[in-house]
Amino acid sequence: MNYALPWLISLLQGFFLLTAIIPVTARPRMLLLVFWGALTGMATTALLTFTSFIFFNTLVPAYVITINLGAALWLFFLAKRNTLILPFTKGTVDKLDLIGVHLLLVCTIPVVLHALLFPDGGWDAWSCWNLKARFLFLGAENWRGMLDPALWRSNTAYPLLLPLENVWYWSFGDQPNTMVTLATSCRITFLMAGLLFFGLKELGGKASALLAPLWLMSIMFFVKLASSQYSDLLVGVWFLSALLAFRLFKERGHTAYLLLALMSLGFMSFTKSEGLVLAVIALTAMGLDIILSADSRKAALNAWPHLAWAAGLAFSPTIYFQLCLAPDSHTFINGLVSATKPASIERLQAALMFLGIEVLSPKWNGFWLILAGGIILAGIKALRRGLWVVPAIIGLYLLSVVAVYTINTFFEIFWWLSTTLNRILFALLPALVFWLFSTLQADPKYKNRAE
Amino acid sequence: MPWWLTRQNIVFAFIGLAILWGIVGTVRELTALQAKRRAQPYAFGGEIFAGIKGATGSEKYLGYLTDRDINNDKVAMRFTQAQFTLAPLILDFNNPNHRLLILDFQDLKQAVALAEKMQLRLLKRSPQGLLFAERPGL
Repeated sequence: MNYALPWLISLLQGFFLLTAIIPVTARPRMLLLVFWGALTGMATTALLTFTSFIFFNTLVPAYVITINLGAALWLFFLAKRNTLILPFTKGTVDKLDLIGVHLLLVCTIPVVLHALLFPDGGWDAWSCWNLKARFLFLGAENWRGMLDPALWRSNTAYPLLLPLENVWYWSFGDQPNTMVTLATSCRITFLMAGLLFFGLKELGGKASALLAPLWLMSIMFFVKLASSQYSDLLVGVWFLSALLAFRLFKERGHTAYLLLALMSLGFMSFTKSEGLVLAVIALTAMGLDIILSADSRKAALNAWPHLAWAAGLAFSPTIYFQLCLAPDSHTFINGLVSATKPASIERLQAALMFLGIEVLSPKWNGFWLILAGGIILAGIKALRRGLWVVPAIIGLYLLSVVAVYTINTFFEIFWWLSTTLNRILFALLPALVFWLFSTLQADPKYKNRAE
Repeated sequence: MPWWLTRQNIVFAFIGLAILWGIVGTVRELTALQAKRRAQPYAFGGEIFAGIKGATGSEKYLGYLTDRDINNDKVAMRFTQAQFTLAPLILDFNNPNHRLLILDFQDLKQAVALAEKMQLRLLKRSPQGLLFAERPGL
């Protein structure tokens, strides 16, 4: 079966959606719109696929294909009303854009090669993410079996954005093809790299913005996790997308970008429980930034009905899943009240110690040391307008993560830390690189010499 | 100080070095992995359970009986890969109260002995020593 069609529908849906939302005067560069659109389309097609389970209690491929095609067409007309400019028309792409795309394609080759060596992905791919996708695709009316308490080892309470994305592709065939899940992880990695590069370029970056995605994709450990078919990559992508959109809102004052930031957070909340925590923290920090800034506050207040609608729509799958589907977690013991497995200061110490050991591990290729050095050199500029939210969100998120490791005493702490902490950090990498580069390079006014 | 010695250029230089170092490491590791894969081709562990699929009818659950320790990573992997292969069937770990059962024991004799003790009707026997059986009366 030809999987080019779902890819094309998804790309067009996302591209037209962004074109319809962002007025032509505030629109970003064409290739940023294409990469961002491709990612947005991945999420919207997955969410529209989810409606099949809500309305029909099963996967109806004909419905899924029709509604997605219909949405793409409807968005095309909306985009056309808002001045639709097609990609690769004259003057929309410069030489650096083309060099960037080709270089990013080359950098994705190791991810593809590694993915081909492990076509079924890593442990969580078959025990959680792709297992859920198989239940959705093969389970017919019994798709809710994936939430059965007997499957507690499969993280039954985790949401469904990644599995649904694969199910959207599988809807064009009759088998749960492994190559689809493999290609999904490679595609997300490539799109993340493009979003990072073109996002930085949009914020004033030059050729050196290319170093940002190249840096990430040169780390073998990043390659391994990116090709493992885990949802952590999606958390990273949507967090990056939310930060980029928020930064563009702060720079340009156009609420279309705030709307995009809210949408990104909504999508992120449907990726993983960690994504939901990160989304709530990011919403709070961004909201605080808007309240504290008179310009942003005025702009947000003027557009509040649109923003409320966008946020409501983007978060509705998560709210529905959490209220109507997600079972109680079988892997949670509240150590604060448990007499048999109480939380202890040793667990807190272990979590903090492990965090320190993890960032110094050679598998990260010195990433954390260079990042820390870069931020120290940037000094106070790293916290300027619109950027302070990044360390604030990440700091609060890491505090929440350490608190969960300490309080939830279900798992043996060293085993738990050794198998999960690196993925939590991995999901933060795109946002951290974006923070460092937009601090150092993207603003052309920033030319501090080392004295 | 020379004009090119800016803070950002210092950081970019370190990042450039890290990229070069990373590329060397990535090429090395991928080459080693590919050599390993040539010597030992990829096989998904759950495939040994695939033969059971066609014989389960409309059953929703399968009891998965084993004498292996699930806390051992290899055993946990075998179980989760079996679950993945057999989805949307739900494998109920060490719960014999289902009509259909998989007996995955370290020693086939132990599995056969248990099947006899429980008066199970043997449906399939895989070359890897798995027994697939029906529990009459349920």
